[in-house]
Amino acid sequence: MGRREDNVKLAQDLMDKPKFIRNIGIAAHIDHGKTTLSDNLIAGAGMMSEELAGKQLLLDFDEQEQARGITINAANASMVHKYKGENYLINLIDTPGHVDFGGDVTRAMRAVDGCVIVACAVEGAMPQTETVIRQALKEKVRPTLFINKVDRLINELKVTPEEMQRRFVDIIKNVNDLVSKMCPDEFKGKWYMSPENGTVAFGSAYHNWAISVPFMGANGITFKDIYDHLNGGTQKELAKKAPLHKVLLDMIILHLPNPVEAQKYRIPHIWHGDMESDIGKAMVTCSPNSKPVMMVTKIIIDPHAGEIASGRLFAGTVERGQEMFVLGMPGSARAQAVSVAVGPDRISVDKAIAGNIVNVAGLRAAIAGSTVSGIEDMESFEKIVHYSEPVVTVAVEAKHMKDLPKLVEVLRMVAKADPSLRVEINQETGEHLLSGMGELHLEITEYRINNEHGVDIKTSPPIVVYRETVMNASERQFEGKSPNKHNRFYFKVEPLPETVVAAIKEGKIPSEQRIKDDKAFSKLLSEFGMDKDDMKHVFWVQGSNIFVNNTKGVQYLYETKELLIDSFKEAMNRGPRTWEPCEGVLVRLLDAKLHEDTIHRGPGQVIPAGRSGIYGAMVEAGTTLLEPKQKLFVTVPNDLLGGVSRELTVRRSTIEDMPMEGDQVTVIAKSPVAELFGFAGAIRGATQGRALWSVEFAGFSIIPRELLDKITREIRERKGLKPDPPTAEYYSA
Amino acid sequence: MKRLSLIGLGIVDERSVPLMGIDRMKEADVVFAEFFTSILREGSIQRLKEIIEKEVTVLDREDVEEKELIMEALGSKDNVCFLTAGDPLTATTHQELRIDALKIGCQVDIINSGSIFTAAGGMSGLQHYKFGRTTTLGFPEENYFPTSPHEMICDNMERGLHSLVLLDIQAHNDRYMTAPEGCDIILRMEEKAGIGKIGPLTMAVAIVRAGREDGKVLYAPIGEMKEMDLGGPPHCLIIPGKLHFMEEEVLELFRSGDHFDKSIRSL
Repeated sequence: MGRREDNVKLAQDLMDKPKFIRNIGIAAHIDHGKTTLSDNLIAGAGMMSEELAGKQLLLDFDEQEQARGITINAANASMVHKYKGENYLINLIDTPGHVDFGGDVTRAMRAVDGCVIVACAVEGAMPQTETVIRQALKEKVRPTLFINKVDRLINELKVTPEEMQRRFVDIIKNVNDLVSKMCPDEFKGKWYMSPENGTVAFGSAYHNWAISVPFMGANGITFKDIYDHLNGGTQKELAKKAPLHKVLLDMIILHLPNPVEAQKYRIPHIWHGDMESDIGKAMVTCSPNSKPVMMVTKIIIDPHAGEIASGRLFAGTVERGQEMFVLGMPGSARAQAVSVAVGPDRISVDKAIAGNIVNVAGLRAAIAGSTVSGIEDMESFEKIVHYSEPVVTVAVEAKHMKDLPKLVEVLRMVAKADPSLRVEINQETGEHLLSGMGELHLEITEYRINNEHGVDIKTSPPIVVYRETVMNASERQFEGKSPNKHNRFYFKVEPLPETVVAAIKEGKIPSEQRIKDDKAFSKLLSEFGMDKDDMKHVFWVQGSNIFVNNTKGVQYLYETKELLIDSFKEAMNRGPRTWEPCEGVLVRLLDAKLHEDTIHRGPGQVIPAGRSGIYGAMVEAGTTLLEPKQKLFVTVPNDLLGGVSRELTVRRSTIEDMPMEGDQVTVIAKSPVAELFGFAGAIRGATQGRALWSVEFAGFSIIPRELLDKITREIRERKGLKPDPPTAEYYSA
Repeated sequence: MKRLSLIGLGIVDERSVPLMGIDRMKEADVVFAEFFTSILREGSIQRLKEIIEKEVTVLDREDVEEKELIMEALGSKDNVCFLTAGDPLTATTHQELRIDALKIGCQVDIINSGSIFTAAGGMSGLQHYKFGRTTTLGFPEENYFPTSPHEMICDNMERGLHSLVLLDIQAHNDRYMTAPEGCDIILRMEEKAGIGKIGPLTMAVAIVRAGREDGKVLYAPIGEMKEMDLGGPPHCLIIPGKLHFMEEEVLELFRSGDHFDKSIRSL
């Protein structure tokens, strides 16, 4: 494949010309054809054989991904494309649509400046389309639209040319509505997508053709021609006339910004340091002449090179052997190797300049989300916010005792490579607990540990992660006493408004960090409907719970503030009912009576006093459990609907909508995660494997009253606690 | 009637226990003791057991704070003793225990004894009438380095009063704050609070191993004192306020240097 080598050479030359670079992402609802699209673009650009593309799923590297036919990790590739006599380098990040792994999409968006939204011609804009659009716009990533699977409209649904056009109009309108709803103000109207302005294309990624209005005009192709090709079964010819890669890469080059253009408005959005500083100016102008600054968006585990930090270089030049600092971590590291991606390969380079997506080996302290810089003490990039939370946990054990040390290392590595996983050690039992976004997510991780890392493991049956909250506001204050009985703290609790909980989860209200400015913080809370004066002295936000100091003039309270925060953290991380984390609780400290001498109010006294005071107030107000829910999208032929409904009904699901499309129906339902174990197998059985389904995290909701006691007991027994949770009296002793 | 005797053991060893206390212990059905608030000379408790010819159960902080063991004993036995070093209900208060015992109808007797509260002032030559509020310096802990003891000392100084500064005892960690460590912490608090009333030249009195044969008193600037080695615990400090001429005269005897080794013995 001589063309491939040529392209690698060309790519290396283009790396030094940022104006000829486009960093883009492809994002869509599951199974709307992203990976097939990426593969055919790469093949078309000469990076792999055209025949194979569309079948091989080049970007789905993992065996797991190929076996399941879905993309799990965001993979990188780059390709070269000629437009109007000039060569361009297009760096492409393919992102997973399966929402169990949604964290990857958010991070990938940080690395790119533009994206292609893929929508299925049959299904149109789906809920996950909305999610990915939101993620793109939040990062000021400019969108274009590709309507995929057009062939299915004609071959399967047998629509007329008029109907086809009407469908396109509808899809474009829906997507534009979503964009304008979430678009940054400065780009309102400017980022409007239409076939006329060339920002919308149609086609079939699988059959390797695409069309846009400018391309039709230039090449004298009409909608009727397309319709005839599809009807006549001559898509191969169409692919010759209107090759997918040409149409789409033209659109990308023409309409999506280059890094120099994009960094002007993206840097002030994602970096809050001094724009007038040298490094601020270097980033805004995408200058290669400064110390390197890179945002890591993914950690790749390479069997030979070990951990590789992949991300966007926003300023400077990174060279092999260079000293780099992972901000927030002690010490420095050397860039042992620098590489860029071409298809599944990483090509080693001596250096790379600002505007590229680069891979750097040797930065052991880096995780997805790290800012890596040649400057030790610069401001980090804004934290990448990810909405989903791990809701399913398994205990992991090595099958052979001798593998235990290796298992510890492997768990550390997988958690680093996939930040939506959480690894913890149960302090009481010493077990390793692995938490993820769903059963499938954990099964895939388990498979990787067994097969890719070569450690045989056993896992416990999956356990659902619950949340605790309070039902009502306290009627009276609850007194928490220190063990020596010389200090007393008075608490009340109440449920936080849902808007506030949502704002904390979305990162609009910062959590788990020092509150530097009380006044600014209370003002921020007032924007979400809380009383400004009442929330004048917030001590801390833990998870989605707030701790506010409502005391007046308590002498020496400031000396115990940190200790009270510690007790609040402990109580919120481990609620009184089942030791599960709390959600949406507002804790008020109303009064405190302290011993005169500091020695009688140290950590050993104040922390237990605060904790039992908060617990007692929660128990008196009434606690309950929240269970995680997932939104399910199950698409099946009409005649199999019965089996799907039955499968959902036995799983305590509520069916929210059932849009029909030809002879297909999509059931949209909300189900408790606890009831979804084994769903993959069950739905396959109920539909002879003809159901296509995906899930999306749908937050936590209150458990039905009749299940509360039973589940409380189950969790407590599993944790080795007495079956009944303590009463308020227990905490006032 | 059931009886709980709270007995002070004094500040030295089994020899500083009042005879009245010894008698009570001999009569007792069960004897508890705690040493997390203060300590006696090594081996004291063993020798005390031999004197009273019975077992002494030493409780840790948790047992005492939960009170369960003591209250249980009061339920089943007539005569219960609870021993603490120093004077009971003075430096550390076990008032909670006293209240609970009274509530279940027990008689509570208090057997007083020597305490560092009075010993330190007397030994230093400073007049008791001129002491302000007492404070304790704790070992700094994670998220806990309160500076109010420093504030208290400054308040006392402002009003011309002496400050008795007790030093942390963490018996469970076998860790006892020394006077030099205390001086260092006071200077660090000054740095943090920045009141500007205390500096390395501020004079302090260290009272080490009060009441014992190897006890000492030393008068020195805290900047110098923090570098010294004054031997094993227990230690405490006094930061003097305005001095009366008699006080000045006595303190001069304890200036570091020639007089130091003679200090208490020679008096």
